[in-house]
Amino acid sequence: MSVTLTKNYGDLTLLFVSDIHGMWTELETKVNTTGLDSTDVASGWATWAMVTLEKDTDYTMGLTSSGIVRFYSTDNTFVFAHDTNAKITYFKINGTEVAQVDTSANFKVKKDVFFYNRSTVYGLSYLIGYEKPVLVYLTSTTIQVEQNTNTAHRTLIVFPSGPIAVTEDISATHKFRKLVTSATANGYSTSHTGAADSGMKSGVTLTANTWYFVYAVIVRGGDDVGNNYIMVADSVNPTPGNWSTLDTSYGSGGWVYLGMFRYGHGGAQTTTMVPFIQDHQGWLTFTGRAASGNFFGIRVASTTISSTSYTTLETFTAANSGDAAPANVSIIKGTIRPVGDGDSDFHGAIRITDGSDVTLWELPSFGSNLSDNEAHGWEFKLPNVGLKLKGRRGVNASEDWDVTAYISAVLDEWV
Amino acid sequence: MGTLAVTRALVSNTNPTEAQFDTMRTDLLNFFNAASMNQNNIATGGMTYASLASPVANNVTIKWTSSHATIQYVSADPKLKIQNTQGDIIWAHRTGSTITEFLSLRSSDGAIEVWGQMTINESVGNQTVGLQWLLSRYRKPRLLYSTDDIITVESNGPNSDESLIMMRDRLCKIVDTTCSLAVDANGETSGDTGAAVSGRAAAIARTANRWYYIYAVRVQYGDDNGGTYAILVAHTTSPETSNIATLNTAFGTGEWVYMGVIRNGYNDGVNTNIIVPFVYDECGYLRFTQGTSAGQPAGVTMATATDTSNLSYDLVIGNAAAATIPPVATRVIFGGHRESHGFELHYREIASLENHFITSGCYHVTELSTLAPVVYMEVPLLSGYRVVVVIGNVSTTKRITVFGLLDHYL
Repeated sequence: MSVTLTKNYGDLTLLFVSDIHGMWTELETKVNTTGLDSTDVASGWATWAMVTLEKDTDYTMGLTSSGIVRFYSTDNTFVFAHDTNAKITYFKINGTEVAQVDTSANFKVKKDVFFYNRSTVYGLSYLIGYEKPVLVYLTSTTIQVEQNTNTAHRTLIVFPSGPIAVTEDISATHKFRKLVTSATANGYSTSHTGAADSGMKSGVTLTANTWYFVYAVIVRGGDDVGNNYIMVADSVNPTPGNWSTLDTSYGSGGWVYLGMFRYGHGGAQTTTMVPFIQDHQGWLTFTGRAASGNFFGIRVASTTISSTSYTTLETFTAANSGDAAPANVSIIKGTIRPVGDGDSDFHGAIRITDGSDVTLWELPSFGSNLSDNEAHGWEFKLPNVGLKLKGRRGVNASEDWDVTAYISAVLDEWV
Repeated sequence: MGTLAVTRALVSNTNPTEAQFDTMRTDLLNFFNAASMNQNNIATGGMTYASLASPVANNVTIKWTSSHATIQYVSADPKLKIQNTQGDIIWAHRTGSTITEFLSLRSSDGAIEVWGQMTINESVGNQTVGLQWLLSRYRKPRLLYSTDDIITVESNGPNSDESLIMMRDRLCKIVDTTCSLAVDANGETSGDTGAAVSGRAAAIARTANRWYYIYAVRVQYGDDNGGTYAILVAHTTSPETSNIATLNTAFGTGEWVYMGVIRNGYNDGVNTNIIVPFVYDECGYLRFTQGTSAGQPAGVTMATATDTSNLSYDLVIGNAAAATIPPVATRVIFGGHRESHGFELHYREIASLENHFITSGCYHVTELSTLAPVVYMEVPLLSGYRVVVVIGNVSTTKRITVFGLLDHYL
C-alpha cells in the first residue's frame, strides 16, 4: 500500500490539532474524492463480487492486438472483440477446442449443431439429408405420416422454427401421426385445451369432390403443447398467397405442408377419400377408382361424342374442388378412355389445345378395338394452366364415341 | 461511494484524550471493515485486474453497469454463462470505433448469426465443403451404369472425380466409386481389414435375375476407417421402413444411405447375370436403356411368348424371383410389344378382370409385316393387378417389360 499522509510533527515539536486534522483530511480526500488506485492496494486485494464494470468502457486483455470486452449502452450489445488486428477467437471445453471464429468471420464447429428449442436428437448434419415424410393412405377415413427415422414409429419434421420428432405407435392411437377425418383437430391454436389430436381444422367439413390440404402443425395449446405436432386437414392450399392465412391459423413458422387428399372421385363415389400413393418426388398417384368401368383416379369428363367436330371434354383450370386440380399442382397426369357401345367400328380422335384452342397435341383416329367392348386408352400429361382436352367422332365411324377422362396423378409442386 | 468521515473532537491547546483517539480509530475501522467502502472509492481506471482477487470465485457475477451484461461461472451445473439481458452478444473485430460483427447471438430469439462461412463437424467427416455449400449445392449423387458387372456414382463435389454423400451425422467421401457385383465389399463389416472396397454386402451372393439395392455405407473397419469415407454396397434387402432394423444390423445404425436400385439380368433366358444398363435421373426415375431384342421394349422382361393367346404378367412385388418388381417403386413404366400387329396394353385388376388403364399400339392393316409396335404405360405399383398384351388370335411374338420405375426412396 502506498497511501501517504503528511507528517508535520515530531518528538521535539508540539502536536497541534491541525496536524491531526490535516492527516484526516488527506485521508478523506484520498478515499472520498481522488479514490484509491491499484498502487494503493495489494494485488488481489479486492474481489470481483464488489466490482461493477462501467458501460461503454473497454476492458482489455493483452497489450498488442488486444482483446476487449465492452458493453455498449447505445444498442445494448455485449461485445467481445479483437481490437485493431483480427485474431482467432477459440471456444474450448476441458482444454479442447470445440469451435472458433476465425479472422474471416467464419464460424467453425468441431461437432454437430443442434437446435435446442426443438428436437435435440437430430443435428444439422442429419437435417441436410432430411427428407420430408409423405402421407400414407390407410383407409377411406384415415391417413398417416410415414416413419422417416431409424426409430420405430417416429417421424421427424423440420419446421421453420426447428426440427420436431414425434413418436407414436398409430396402431393403438391417433393423436400426432394419424389423421382421422371424423375428428376435429385440437391443439393447433393457443386457445385449445385438452389432449392434442389430428383431424379436420375446426370449421372445415368434408364436401363432395373437394381437395383437402394436410399440414403438420406445432401444438400450441392444450395438454401436449411444446415440441409436438399434429396433422390438420384444411381447405386452404399452400400456394404463397395463402401463407398469411396459414400463419394466422397455425402461427408463423408453425406449419409445414405435407400433401393433400381428394374427397370424391367425381362421377360416382363423390364422398369418399380417393386412395393414393404420395411419393417423395411430389407425385400424388391415385390407386382407386370410383366404380366398375372407371379408370384410376378422379373422373373429370364423361361425354358421348356424336359430332365429327371437336368437343371440349375438360378445361383444366386450377381449383380446390370439382373437375380440377388445385393451384399447387403443376402437372396433371391423366387417362382417356373411349368406349363404343358394342360394335367394333367406333373411332375418333383426341386433341389437346391451349386456352385459345390452338392444337398442341393430337392423336388421330384408331381402328376397331381388339378386346370385347373394351376401348383404347391414352395417357396425357398437361401443365395445370388451363389447357383443354377435346375429342371428336370419326367421320366414317358407325356409332358415337363415349369418352371419359380421369386425373390419375398430379405433381404437387409444394410437397 | 462510501464516505469516510472521521470524528474530530480535538480542541486546540488541549491534549487529545484516549477516548478521542479511540473515536477516530473506530471511525476509520468502520469505514474499511463495515462495508461502507465500495468501488466508488476506487479511482476510475486506476485499478488493474491484478488488484482483483483471481480467479473469480464460483457463482460470482462479473457485471456491467445496470447489470445487463454479466459473466458468471455457475458451479452447480457447472457452466460458464455469458449473458446479456438487453441486447445481442457479439464476437467481433474492432478498428477504431468500427465494430465488424463475426458471430452474434441474437437477443430477440437466441439465434446464432454467422457473418462468414460456417463449418460443422470439423472433427468428424469429410471437410471438402462447408455448410453453405451443402445447403445450396449438395444433392445425392446418382448411380451410373458402367459395365455388365460394375456401376459407379457421379461426381457431385466441387472437385472432379469426387463423390460426396451426406450420411446421418457427417459428410463422407466415397472412397471407391467402382461398385462391382463380382466382388465382395470390404470395410463395412466387423473384422474387415485392408483398403475399403465397394461391392456386394457380406454374405450376399450374386444371383441371376435379381434386384440389388445400393447403399452408401460408412467405412467402419480396415485401413480407411477414419470416419470420413464411405463405400457403395449392394444388398438384396430394400430400404423400406420395415427393413430399417435389418439394414442397421448389416451396416450399423444410421451408417447407411440408400442410393438406388439396379437390376442384374434381363430375365430373357440369355442375359441373366449382367447389369441391365440404366439411367437414374434427379427426380428418382430409373429407366433402362437397353432391351433384349431390337424393336422390342427396353428393360427387364416380365413375360414373353409366341402364340395366339394374350400375354399376361401378374405383378409380383419383391425380389424372390426373376419376374418381380422392387417395392421401392411407386409407379412403374411397363413396355408392351407385339410383332407385326396392333395390340393393346392393359393394366387390369385381377379380381374383377376390369381394366384400369389402357394404351394402344397403333398399326395399319396394310403394313402388318413391317410395323412392330412398342408402347409404354406408367401405372401405380399395386399387387392384385395384371399387365396384358391383348392381341386377338394371330400367333405372334409378344413381350412385357419393366422399362422403368419411380424410386420413391431416393
